[in-house]
Amino acid sequence: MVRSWISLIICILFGLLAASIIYYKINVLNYPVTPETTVNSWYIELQGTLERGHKSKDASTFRLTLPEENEGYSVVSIQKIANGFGEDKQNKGRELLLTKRNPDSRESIYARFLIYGLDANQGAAPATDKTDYLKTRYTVENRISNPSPETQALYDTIDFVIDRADSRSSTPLSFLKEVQAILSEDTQKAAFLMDQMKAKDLAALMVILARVEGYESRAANGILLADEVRNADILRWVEIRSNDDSDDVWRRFFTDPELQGKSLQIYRWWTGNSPLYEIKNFKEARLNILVKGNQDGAFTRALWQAEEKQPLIYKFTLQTLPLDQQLVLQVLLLFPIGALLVSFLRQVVGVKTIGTFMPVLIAVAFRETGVFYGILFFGSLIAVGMVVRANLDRLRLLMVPRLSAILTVTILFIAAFMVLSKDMHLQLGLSVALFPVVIITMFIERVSTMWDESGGKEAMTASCGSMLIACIIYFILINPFIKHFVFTFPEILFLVFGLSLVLGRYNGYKLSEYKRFWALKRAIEKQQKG
Amino acid sequence: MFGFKEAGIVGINKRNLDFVLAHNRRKFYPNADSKLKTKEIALSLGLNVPDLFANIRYQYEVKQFEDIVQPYDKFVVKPDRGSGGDGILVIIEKVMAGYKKASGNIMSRQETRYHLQNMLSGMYSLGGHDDTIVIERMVEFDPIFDEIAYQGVPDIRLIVLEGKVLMGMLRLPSKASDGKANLHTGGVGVGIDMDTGITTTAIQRNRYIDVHPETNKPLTGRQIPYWKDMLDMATKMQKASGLGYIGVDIVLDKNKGPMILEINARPGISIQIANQCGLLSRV
Ligand SMILES: Nc1ncnc2c1ncn2[C@@H]1O[C@H](COP(=O)(O)OP(=O)(O)O)[C@@H](O)[C@H]1O
Ligand SMILES: [Mg+2]
Repeated sequence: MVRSWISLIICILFGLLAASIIYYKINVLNYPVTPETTVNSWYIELQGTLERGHKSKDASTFRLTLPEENEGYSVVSIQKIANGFGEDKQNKGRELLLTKRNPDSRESIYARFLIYGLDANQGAAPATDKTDYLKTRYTVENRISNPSPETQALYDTIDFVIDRADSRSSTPLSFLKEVQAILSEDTQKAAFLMDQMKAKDLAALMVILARVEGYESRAANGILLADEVRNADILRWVEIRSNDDSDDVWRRFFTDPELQGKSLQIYRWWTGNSPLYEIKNFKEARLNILVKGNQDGAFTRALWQAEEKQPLIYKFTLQTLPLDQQLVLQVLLLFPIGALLVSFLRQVVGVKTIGTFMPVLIAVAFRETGVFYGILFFGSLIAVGMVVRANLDRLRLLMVPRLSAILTVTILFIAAFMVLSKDMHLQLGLSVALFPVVIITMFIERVSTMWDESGGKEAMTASCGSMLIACIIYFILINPFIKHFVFTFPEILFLVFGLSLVLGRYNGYKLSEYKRFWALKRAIEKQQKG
Repeated sequence: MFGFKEAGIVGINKRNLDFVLAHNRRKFYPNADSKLKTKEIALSLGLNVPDLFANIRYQYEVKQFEDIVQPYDKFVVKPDRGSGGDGILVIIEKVMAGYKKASGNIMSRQETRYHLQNMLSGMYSLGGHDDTIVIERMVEFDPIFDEIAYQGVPDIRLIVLEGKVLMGMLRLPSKASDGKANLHTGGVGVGIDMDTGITTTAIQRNRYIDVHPETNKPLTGRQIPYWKDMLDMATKMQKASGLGYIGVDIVLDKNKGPMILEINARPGISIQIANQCGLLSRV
């Protein structure tokens, strides 16, 4: 009795503590309660490793192109950690040069940017800078007067492509489309042009052709902005100015046909043909780019802009952690909630499950596969596993080696499944790599022993119970509001802790027991009356 | 809600919190969880137990199983730390092909060896820990239950709380339970009147029945012999075990009278259904 009271009091205290911190955060510090539904700021994080080359007297350098402000986005903050490197800005602050005299065999660098979408004119805006986007030495005025036959051939090919494209198109954008069509039809010409003009890629080549035609154009480089990208690619495209009476905008043209005609949210990192980074006296550089949509908008912007003069509590804000840690924590913090739910369903409702927190783990697996394919995949894996186990049973194997045999078969089955789905061009969206196979194996083993000992009915109810709870937890895991709330107000877990204690002292009946003891209760009541 | 509390019914949460956790200290659990320990305690109190034939502890000993049981025709093999009747073999005869179980089914020697190995690796033990195997004399049960015991040994389960026997139940093996009397294996549970030791109402798989499903003989109105002795044995065991709340399993041997089979630190709550009475109203 006393213990129950203590648990209840602890729960109330922790609940109050959580409530007051949350109240303070919301009302005094203006933390946002709900995520912004339209994300318009993103974190971009670079994690790089540099391998040292041969020892040399010269300093080793790493030059990085910094994200630039443009008509669609402003760069709110830049943070970088590069221990022992000298830093220097170059090229009007557009590039960062890191220099180190005697680098270690492996150096790591880290940079993080917060970019903020501007409300006006997403993606395309008039040219405002003074760069000459028409400059090329292949326009008629700039051509050499007495060219060699080879150069003459180049001029002819240029003219041929341009005239042809011009005759078929009416707008700058359709001009680019035609150019690409012509070049992909006649790959010989394309190769010749690339070679002669020393163009880096198709985009660079098309920029020149557009300029010769008289369209202002430039090559652009950037990334796709999405909620969560762990390994972003640098995209390249052509931008061409479309300037008529009604509007004056830069239009985007992707040379990659897969990206054409899609409305994508893309951030232009830099323009021109220079690479993202260059190294000198390093053997190799590996760079990983992470992107994460920031649903806390203004709040994190405030957090990032003035990191020094802030109240201490900001220090404990999870949003200041490195991105990859944030991504992991976002999920981890939801585990206790899932576990609490399992406790509730087991203790109060009386749902039977296989293994205590197996449902939480299954739910995490579903996060990778989606719930539909998750259940399908999980179900078939377990079915296969059970068949294998039933057959292995005849061989009379010891328990632990039998487990590893089932594990092996399960993994082989997953491999086969992946190969098959690739062959049939099934885009299942399966990322099975993270699928906790070991858990499936244990699941199979538990179901099978349960099947043997308590019959198929028991085993099936428990499996279905586990799946049901896993589904519920899955929907908690993917809910953006819950995710945001717990991540922004992790102190809510104090309450979860308190509730676990109270639940641990629950001595009432389970819902399922009302059914189990119904006849008994009736019989007792009859006796009491009689 | 729904008058469950008024009826004095104890649910599983209440059993765990207010009976098991409140009265049983963890350090005394082994006294109940290990059948060998329980045997020792019972013997030290001068109570009867089925004779211990052997204790197999290591995998290599499994090979010697045939030699070990060579002198005995009938015997029982069980996991030392098992529960709920899981993994128990009640062998009533040795035959050419292997061992004949109480249900009449025959287990080949090979199958038996596999079973023993699984037992040792903890398949039937609490929490899956490594286990040892107990081989003991098969109880020759009193013919008094002949009419209502089917292929196996009936036992009497008594629930004891701090010196007082709260409730009792006669458990009878059925066709489904393979010689074991545990309820969840399909055994029949019969309530017992505490004062007289006469059986009252009966259940199988949570349903009320009047006659034994296999022998069709009435289950109610039967006198349990040695009833007072049994109550006495149960309270003694509870005190000696250090645990405040236990279930004591007693079997009635034809020659030696009541014997302690095992004790249980988390006795099941279906006993309430068999007795048509809530445990709470007996506290
Ligand atoms: N020595 C024995 N002789 C005959 N039957 C036995 C013997 N030991 C156990 N049994 C049968 O198996 C059942 C379960 O045995 P028990 O020792 O209580 O183990 P558990 O902890 O698994 O319940 C008993 O109710 C009884 O029917
Ligand atoms: Mg028992």
